[in-house]
Amino acid sequence: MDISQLMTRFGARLAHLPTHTKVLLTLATCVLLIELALRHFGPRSRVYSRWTRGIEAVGAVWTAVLLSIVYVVSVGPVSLFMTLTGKDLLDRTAGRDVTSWKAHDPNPLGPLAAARHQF
Amino acid sequence: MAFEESREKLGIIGELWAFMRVRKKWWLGPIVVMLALLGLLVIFTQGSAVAPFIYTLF
Amino acid sequence: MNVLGISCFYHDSAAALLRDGVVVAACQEERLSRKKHDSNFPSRAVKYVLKQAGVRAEQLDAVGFYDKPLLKFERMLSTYIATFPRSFGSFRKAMPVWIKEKLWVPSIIRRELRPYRGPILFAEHHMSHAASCFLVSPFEEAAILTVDGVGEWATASFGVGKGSDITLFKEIRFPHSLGLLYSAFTYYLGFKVNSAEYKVMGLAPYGKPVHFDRIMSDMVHLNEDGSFKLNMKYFSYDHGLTMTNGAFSEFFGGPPRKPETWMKEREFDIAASIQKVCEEVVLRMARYIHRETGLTRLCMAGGVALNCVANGRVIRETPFKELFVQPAAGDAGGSVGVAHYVYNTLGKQPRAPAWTHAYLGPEYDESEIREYLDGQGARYRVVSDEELVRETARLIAGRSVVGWFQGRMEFGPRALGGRSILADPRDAKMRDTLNMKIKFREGFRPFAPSVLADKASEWFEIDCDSPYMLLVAQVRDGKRCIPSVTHVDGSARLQTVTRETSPLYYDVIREFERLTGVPVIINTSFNVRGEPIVCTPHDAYLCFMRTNMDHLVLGHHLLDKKDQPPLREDVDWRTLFELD
Repeated sequence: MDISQLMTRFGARLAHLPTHTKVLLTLATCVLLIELALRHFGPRSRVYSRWTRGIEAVGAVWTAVLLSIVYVVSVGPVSLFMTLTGKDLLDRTAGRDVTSWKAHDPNPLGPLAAARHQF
Repeated sequence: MAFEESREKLGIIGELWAFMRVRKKWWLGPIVVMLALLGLLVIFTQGSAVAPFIYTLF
Repeated sequence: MNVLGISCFYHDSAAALLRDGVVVAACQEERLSRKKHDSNFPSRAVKYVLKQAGVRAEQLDAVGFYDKPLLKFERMLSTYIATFPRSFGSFRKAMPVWIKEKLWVPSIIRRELRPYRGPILFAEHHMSHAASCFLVSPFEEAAILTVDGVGEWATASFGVGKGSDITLFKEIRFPHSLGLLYSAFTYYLGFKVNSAEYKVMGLAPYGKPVHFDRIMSDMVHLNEDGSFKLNMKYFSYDHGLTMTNGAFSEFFGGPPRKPETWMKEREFDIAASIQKVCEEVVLRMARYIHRETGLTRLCMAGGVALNCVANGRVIRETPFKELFVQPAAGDAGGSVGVAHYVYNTLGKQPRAPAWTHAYLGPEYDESEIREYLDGQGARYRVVSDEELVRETARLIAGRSVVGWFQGRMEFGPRALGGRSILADPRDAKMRDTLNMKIKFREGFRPFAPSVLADKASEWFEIDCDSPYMLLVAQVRDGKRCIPSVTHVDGSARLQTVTRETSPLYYDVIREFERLTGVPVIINTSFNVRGEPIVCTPHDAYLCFMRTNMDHLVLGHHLLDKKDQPPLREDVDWRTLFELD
């Protein structure tokens, strides 16, 4: 199979994509090309800094969307599980006890090995 | 140098795993996995040409 | 052996360098970046401490980081889980920073310290605090108490230090936190959290602790042993972006005070009440620790250890006979703590002699100062030691306000005679002058005195040294002729000065005493409100020229404001510093 055959096959596959995928792909390619062009020709230009700012604004929205999904999908179920098993990770039960001092719980690995870890 | 930096960054996976194992915090798993994936995505695409799609996150 | 200690990413980032167990240099990043409470990686401070020690990054034997990022991460995730779905706002704000920065501490350190290839070691936050006070203290064995906002999970802990070893026994865990409780009141009173807690302490003597009993019966459930639980229905710091909530406002009959608005008896009383609560908790903790350990020496660190009113009561009202408080008791001190922990405790090395001063920052020699002043076209006189002492004391006694820049900069939040503004404490108006015309800060804020150590007990009700300005004592009855450093309740937050650690500064106070009969001068930090304390001759000259300071002493260079050419600036400097 030579290059031209490969290209034809690839082109045919692209042509068969649904319209909205085509639009998205075109958009992504444009963004990529603009980024590459600006990086190459004017990395310190005002146009590039404006372009970056614009993209950042889009990113801020995306961040909110992504984090909302992560929050609901991962924090939510664990929270539900904790509620169902009656476990309060923060020990917020009010009221006086004899003491609220808890034993210091050093890392079971021992001081030297523990120091090499971030926990 | 880039390779070493990447290896250093990937170290967080092992570190998180060791943390959950040693401290028996398995319930952190789902959240940690999702956040770590996001983190790696952001870290490894910084500075690359696909950055416009990613680096503006966070 | 060279060990670098780093603290950063929360507030007050700093770096410290130990050579064979002795701190060669320690510096907060804010002093170099000129951004108050700078929490970024302390690149400038690291560069400085390495330069001061004459060490390159690759020559370091170990690097220590002052907390355990993953334990902190776990605590945050636990909080989000426990307070789902109210925690979304906080999650949304905090996670990007974690994903981008806080989870990658080792790689950030390696990048900043390239080509360093040695170990990166981590200590628990409260272990760093404990090490930062005990391992530099003069005690072979002592009890240790650390209290702050929050580290990983612990918000307070106690233990014992012996030789180079530290054992932490017990702790109080988040969300129950004395530091965060104090910060919640700081927020409610309209001040900046993690920054202006000391203003609440300064405000307290104006009021009466009328809410003390109510707070203790409903908000803080305090046990006899000093441990406590907070009633979280009043607080939102565990899940939200504010410290207190509607229930808290209802408790005190109104919303939080808006920053910079007028304060009345109500605010004074609330400040007095929380201060009393704080003292009560610390006193009970100290008595309990004494009972548990049987020791009579105590070392304290953590942000709450900067509450010098509480410290003063610990030494007067508990069985502890001696108290050592770290001068950089807050998070900045964690850099020194982790470095010592790595060298002494993990490395099993004997301790170096105890700290006698906190002059661990940058210094500038006479030629650097002269070169700078000449470049500015400043007019100055170069004077000898003797003349410098005589002239400075004479100026202060003549009601001049003098900027004092000598030797190495202090480590920690207090100016201790390295980067200070000096004035006459006998003048009742001096407090207003300094507050309004020089520091541009709130009128209620008291000033602290520096007193000759050998005269301290004559003038103040104190029988121990307070070299780091971390103890409060009453001014003696017959000595109330120093109104501008005497707070409304007759107290003063004093610094005792010895000739061994600060010869020039000591001599100035002694000369002032010869002229006036008073061995006390006002010592306030060399900065304006919202500005980090000055570090370089440039910072000092700018601060001098922008304010109504009368004279400036830069090393052996004496400057009179009247002789100086006007300062040419393109920006209004008041916009440079965010008010604290």
